Amino acid sequence: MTSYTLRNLVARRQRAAMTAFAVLLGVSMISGTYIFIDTIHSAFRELFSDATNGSTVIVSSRQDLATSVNAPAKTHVRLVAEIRSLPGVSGAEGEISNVATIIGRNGKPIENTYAPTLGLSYVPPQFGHFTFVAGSPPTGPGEVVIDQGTAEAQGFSVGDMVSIVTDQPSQRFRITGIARLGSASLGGATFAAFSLATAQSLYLEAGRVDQIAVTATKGTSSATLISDIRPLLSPELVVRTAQSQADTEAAGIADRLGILTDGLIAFGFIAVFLGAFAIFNTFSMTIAERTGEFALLRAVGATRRQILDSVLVEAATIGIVASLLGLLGGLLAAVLIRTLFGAIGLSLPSTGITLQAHTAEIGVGVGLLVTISATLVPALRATNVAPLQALREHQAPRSTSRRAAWLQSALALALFAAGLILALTGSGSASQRLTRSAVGAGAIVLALVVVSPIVVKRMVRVVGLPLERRGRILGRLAWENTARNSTRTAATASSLMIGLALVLFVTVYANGLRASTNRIIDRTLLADFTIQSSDGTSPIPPATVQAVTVLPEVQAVASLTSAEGRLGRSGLVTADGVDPSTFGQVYTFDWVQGSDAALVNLLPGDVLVEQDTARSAHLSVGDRIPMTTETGIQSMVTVRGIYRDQALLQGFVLPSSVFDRVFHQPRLQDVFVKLDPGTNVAAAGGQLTQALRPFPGVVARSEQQVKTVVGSRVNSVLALFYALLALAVGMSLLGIVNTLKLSLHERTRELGMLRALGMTPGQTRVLIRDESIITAALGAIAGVVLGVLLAWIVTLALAGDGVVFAVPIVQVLGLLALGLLAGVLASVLPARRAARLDVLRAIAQE
Amino acid sequence: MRGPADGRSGRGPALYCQHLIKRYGEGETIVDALRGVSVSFPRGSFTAIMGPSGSGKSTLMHLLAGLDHPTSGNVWLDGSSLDGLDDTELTRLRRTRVGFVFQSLNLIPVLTAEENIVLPLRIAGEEIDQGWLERLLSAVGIENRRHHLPSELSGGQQQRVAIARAMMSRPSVVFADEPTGNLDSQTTEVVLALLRRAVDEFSQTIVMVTHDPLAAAHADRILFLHDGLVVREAEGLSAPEILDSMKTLQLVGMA
Repeated sequence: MTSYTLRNLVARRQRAAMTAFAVLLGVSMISGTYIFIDTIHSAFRELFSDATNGSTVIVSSRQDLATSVNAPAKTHVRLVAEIRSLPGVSGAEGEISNVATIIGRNGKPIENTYAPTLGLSYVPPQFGHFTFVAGSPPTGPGEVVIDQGTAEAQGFSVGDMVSIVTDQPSQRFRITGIARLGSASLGGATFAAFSLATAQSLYLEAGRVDQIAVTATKGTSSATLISDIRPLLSPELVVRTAQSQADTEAAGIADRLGILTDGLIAFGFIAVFLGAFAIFNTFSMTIAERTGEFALLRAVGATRRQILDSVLVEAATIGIVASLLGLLGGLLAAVLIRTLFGAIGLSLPSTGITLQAHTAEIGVGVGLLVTISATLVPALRATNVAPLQALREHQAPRSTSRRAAWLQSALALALFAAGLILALTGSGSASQRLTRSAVGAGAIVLALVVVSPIVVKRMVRVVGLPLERRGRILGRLAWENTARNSTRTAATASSLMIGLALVLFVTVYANGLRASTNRIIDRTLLADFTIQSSDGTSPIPPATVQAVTVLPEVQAVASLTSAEGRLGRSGLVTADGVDPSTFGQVYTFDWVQGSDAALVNLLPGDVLVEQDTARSAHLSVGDRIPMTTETGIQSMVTVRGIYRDQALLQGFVLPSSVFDRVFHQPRLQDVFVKLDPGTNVAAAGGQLTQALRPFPGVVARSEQQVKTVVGSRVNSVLALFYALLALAVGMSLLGIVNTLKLSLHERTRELGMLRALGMTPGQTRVLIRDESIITAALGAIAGVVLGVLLAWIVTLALAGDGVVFAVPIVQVLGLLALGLLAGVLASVLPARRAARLDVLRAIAQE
Repeated sequence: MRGPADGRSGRGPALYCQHLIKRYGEGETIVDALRGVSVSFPRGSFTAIMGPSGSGKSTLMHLLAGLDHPTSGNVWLDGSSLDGLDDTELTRLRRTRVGFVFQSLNLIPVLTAEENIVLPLRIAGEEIDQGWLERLLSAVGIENRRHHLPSELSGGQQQRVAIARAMMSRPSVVFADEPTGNLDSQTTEVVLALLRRAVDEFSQTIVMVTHDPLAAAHADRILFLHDGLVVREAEGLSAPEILDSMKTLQLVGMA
């Protein structure tokens, strides 16, 4: 039986290849994502461990919460001296680690959307950070060492002058050296390193450092060192080996990429799932074709079991080969994903490709599992071939029995209802409700897939009607042919349906999100201008507040500082520090509970909580709960008000006096500027821009510009999703091609007869194209309906957060057109082949 | 190039060919399927083409019906030459001037009997002559099964529908390729009688390829092919005479 199976595979190379291709693409995407993540992870690890090699242990701020805002607790230089005097310590060096903005040759700040430019203090070579390419370390004020990447990109060389913004306005520095951090090739990591004293004064940290690198004398273990140092530390500080410090930092970065990579993996699974439809179709058809052969095998004594095994071994062979090729494809996919990230402004460090065992296990495992499960039904059907069928000439297409149809409908209805209930009855925070409705949405998709063969039978006629009117009998033939095997058509259309539904869902959801942020900004923001970091990572120096306050047109200036923390049982959320006396002039709260008095009377120990955080932590006004900072410090706070704002003040708000004390985050997030009533806004904007000239990394944005920036953040993520979804839609296109090719193969004789009866090659092309369009139209229509339904369900679940539901008519029409176009495209090759059919040979075929 | 008699209603033969040669392959593997055949088919005649496998009888039919191009020689259908017509022109010709009845799987499974009958005209985008359709439906005896799908018809009924379809466009010639090859003897008789009636009542020209002497006996004239040549032409033979003839020509056993 095994040799029979293998010969079959070889004989049906093309079929096998088509099945394999579907698996291959999915596995490529999944493994590509894992390879990408692992590569990034190891690149950052290498980066950070290079940066700390030489040091034995590192004293740094405790970062108990995985936070994206790296704001270290300050350490007094006194501690450096204390550590130096410990036995076993050969050296200890305090370091400043902050952010800076380098001004390029064109006078504009060099922007990094992903990683900020680091503002560092130089440490001597025994601590191993810097590898010099040219020049020498900075020694005094006005001297700087910059990274090789920036120097090369901007054409800076040793001796040149460069402007850099730190916590001070832009200042000029002489480049004394060009260096790399460690030995890894740094993509995206730019830095400016000053002498320790210079850095301390630039960052207003006189007498303090951010972390301390310690080297041990020969024969002293890092464990000994750690236990010696630990008693000297305040609770906010932690001592780790250099390696574990590097791991921690690398893990932090990986976490930040989490949402995007989770999305990528999800799409990989979706791709495999869509591929399953193609596999199911291909196997169903090859098995239908081989009915006679199976019957013959049964007649000569093969058991059902042997037939089943034979088909499954065939599937498994295809699954394994395709998955292994998919792993290779994954290497390519990883490069593509990186390019994609680069395209939306996330450039990442590059080292060699990392292929870990779990990538291969998951990739091949998923590929194999999907192939086998998609083959199971057709394989079981093969075992039902009776030996006598070998003698029968032609088998009428199997029609689903009434009972099966009932069962299918009932199952679909149950799934649909369950999905709907699940999706609409969520409670808790937005993300909890979102997860719930996602699961519900999944059930609804499944319901549609289950019921699709039945629906397709009815729908085909409706969709085909315009074609019938136009092409008369050919249109009729086209939809009859499409309806002939409704399971096959349904499976083909389903994959397009899911792809398009996801596109539409993401579009509707993103639009809703954008509309809701715009509404929030409209409702809450009183400021005429908001000063923000131009690229989102460059710091806003505190001096900017002073610079704009002095302008005559300005009525009020209020700033916002942001960090991350926990409130009660909430997850990690944004904590914002505001000055209660001025903030009300630039911002009006959209209260759920409480009133403006709550802001004015906000005392140390009070917080205002965003509705979503309040919901997830089950908070209401008057509750007294612990607030946890990123360094693990806890203090009790009282909830004084609950407000709505998912755009500017997510999380919770506390007085800046407390914020500055417990969250070590001196950098400003936003500075809001309110003008005197009646001021010419455009002229004032010019004044502001003028006043901000010494701070090249910051810009003053009008309300409209703030909305645009918030919206563009959504857009760049959207772009990534679209790129991935295009892949999914592309796969369903291949599915249509596949189905058409196979169904044409089945109907060779019939087509030959039609040609003999007078159908021209042109008409043949039209017929095949119409069949393809009908299938695609079914998928597109169902996809649009499903997409709108899913978006409606999810927005309903999030209605309380101001997410608005609106059907984007243009996009809906666009997607329908896209679906039809996909149908036309998919038909090109099969139709051409059908038109070139050798009539005589086709007729001769029995 | 024009034949001796022009036009569909002309008096000349419905179909004739001169010096048809068909050669397949090249070099060592060259095969001459037809080695110079000239035959004429008068209007309203029923001709059977007989011969063993490989005699060239199918090739001859394909060339006569415009399904294939000859290597040399020419075919005149209704007085017009098929020479030089491209694939699309031949296709258009087949729609209206030629009817086909194949051995099996003659009908489109998703269309009803009536729809199958008018299919070629529909493909051509031509008007349906309802009166003619009714006459044909009653002539082949499937008026009350006209809305049935092929799968709901017996093999004999299916062939009768195929004959009605072949005649629907009032073609110059109906080609029947082993039309009874898949039928039992009783049904065979019904189908052949129907073809005979088509010739007698409607003056339909029919060319039938067969290797069954019983089927051939219904024809007015029989052409015996062997090795790509017409080796005998006879009229009004009975089945035993045909069998004898084939034996004489040493064709039996090779069929």
